[in-house]
Amino acid sequence: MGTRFLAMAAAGLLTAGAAWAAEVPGQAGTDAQFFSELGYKDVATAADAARALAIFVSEGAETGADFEAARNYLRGKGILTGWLEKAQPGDSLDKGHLASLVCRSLGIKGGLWMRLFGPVPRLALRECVHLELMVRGAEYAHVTGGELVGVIDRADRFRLAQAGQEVPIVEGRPSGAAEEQK
Amino acid sequence: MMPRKTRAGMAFLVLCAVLVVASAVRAEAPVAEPAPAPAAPAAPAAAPAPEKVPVTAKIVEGTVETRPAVGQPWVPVQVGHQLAEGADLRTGFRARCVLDMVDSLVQVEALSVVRLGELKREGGAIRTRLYLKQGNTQSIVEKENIESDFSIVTPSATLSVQGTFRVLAGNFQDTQSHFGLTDQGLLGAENGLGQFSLLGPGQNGSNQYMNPIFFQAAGLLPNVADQFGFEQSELFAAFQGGVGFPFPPGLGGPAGPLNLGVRSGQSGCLSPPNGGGGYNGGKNGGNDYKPPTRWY
Repeated sequence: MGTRFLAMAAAGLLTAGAAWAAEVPGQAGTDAQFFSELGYKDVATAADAARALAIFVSEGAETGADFEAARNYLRGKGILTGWLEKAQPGDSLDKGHLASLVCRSLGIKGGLWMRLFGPVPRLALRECVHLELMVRGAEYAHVTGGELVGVIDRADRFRLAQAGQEVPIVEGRPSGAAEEQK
Repeated sequence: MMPRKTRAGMAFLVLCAVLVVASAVRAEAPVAEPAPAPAAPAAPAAAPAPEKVPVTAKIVEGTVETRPAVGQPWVPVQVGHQLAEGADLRTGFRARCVLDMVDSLVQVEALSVVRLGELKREGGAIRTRLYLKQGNTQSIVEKENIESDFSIVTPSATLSVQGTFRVLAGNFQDTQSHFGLTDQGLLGAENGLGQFSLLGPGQNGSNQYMNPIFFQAAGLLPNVADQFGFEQSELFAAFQGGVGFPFPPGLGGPAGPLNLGVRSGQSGCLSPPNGGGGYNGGKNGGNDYKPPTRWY
């Protein structure tokens, strides 16, 4: 009786362990999965911001799946602001702090007041709006997941433009046109 | 020498462990194994029923994934991968994928999510509907030799292509849809209100077909309402009046003397029927929210 109970308990534990282990790989995911799922989130979190910025700053080399690892990477690059340093992974991201992170990532110096006081949220947001990296709004307004994706996209295009590059242009003709011409 | 009962128990335990491990391995297998792309049937339909059009990935750079339908696992896309109607495509950072769609070449750019909504040949025309949920695309649409009905549909606007040219289309949640025409031809864009706009060569536009005065006013008025802030009741309170009320709490806003919850007698204040109140002084630990008793 005791052996049977032991066997059933062991089987139950093993099943639960296997189910848990099967879920773990899905949590990390690819950058494509991260950004596509982020687009459906009503509010982006500090963990989302850290991961998105780690991918952005490293130009795709870092996955940033782990919150602490992403923060360490950003800290090493001198981008981590006081807010993200103290934030919990689930804390919601606001526009001002995102703008501040974006300004640090891109090395945007801004105007007179930003040069004097640094990329504080309000000034950083105004600078990002001026550069068409972000849309207007209050600096304490929460950032949606889709907005964060859009900001990362525009910031990368901005960085490419600064370096004299651009997104490749599609060339050629569709296969159907060639067939019809024969 | 172990007793027979103990040996049987041990054997049962080992059997359970083997079964569980085997099931776990099998459960992981579909994720690692790239599923073959469903190839569209090439047989021509004699009946007027629409014929499926194959889509082939011509260029793939970076992380590009697809799934044949909702609920199916995502698999990486490689050059030559064939996609069918209903397939979803998503791209990662600095990734891109050029799709050959018989009548058009479509480049799905980085951070995009696209669905091949409709892809069929009806009579002599090829009907294509590309659902752009997020991201940017570039398209070259061929109309010289093929009768093409090509549209890009975003959550807020629909772009219809009227000739052979290069079209840029993008959609993000914050900026919403934007379109551009970089070659000759004509572009038609329609938003959810049915407002229609034509774009010529070198022109671009967005789905915000708004009176210019209202557009400027919307940009100049203070925006202090955080639509994702706090709770639903507070959201309604924040939108009361629609002119930027309430002030931030530090300036004596919702928790201060403004007291939107008991405001009355003002015209033009429309609040929703299931909310619309505000804080009533904020003196009881911030939980003294009072729902409204009537419409304003």
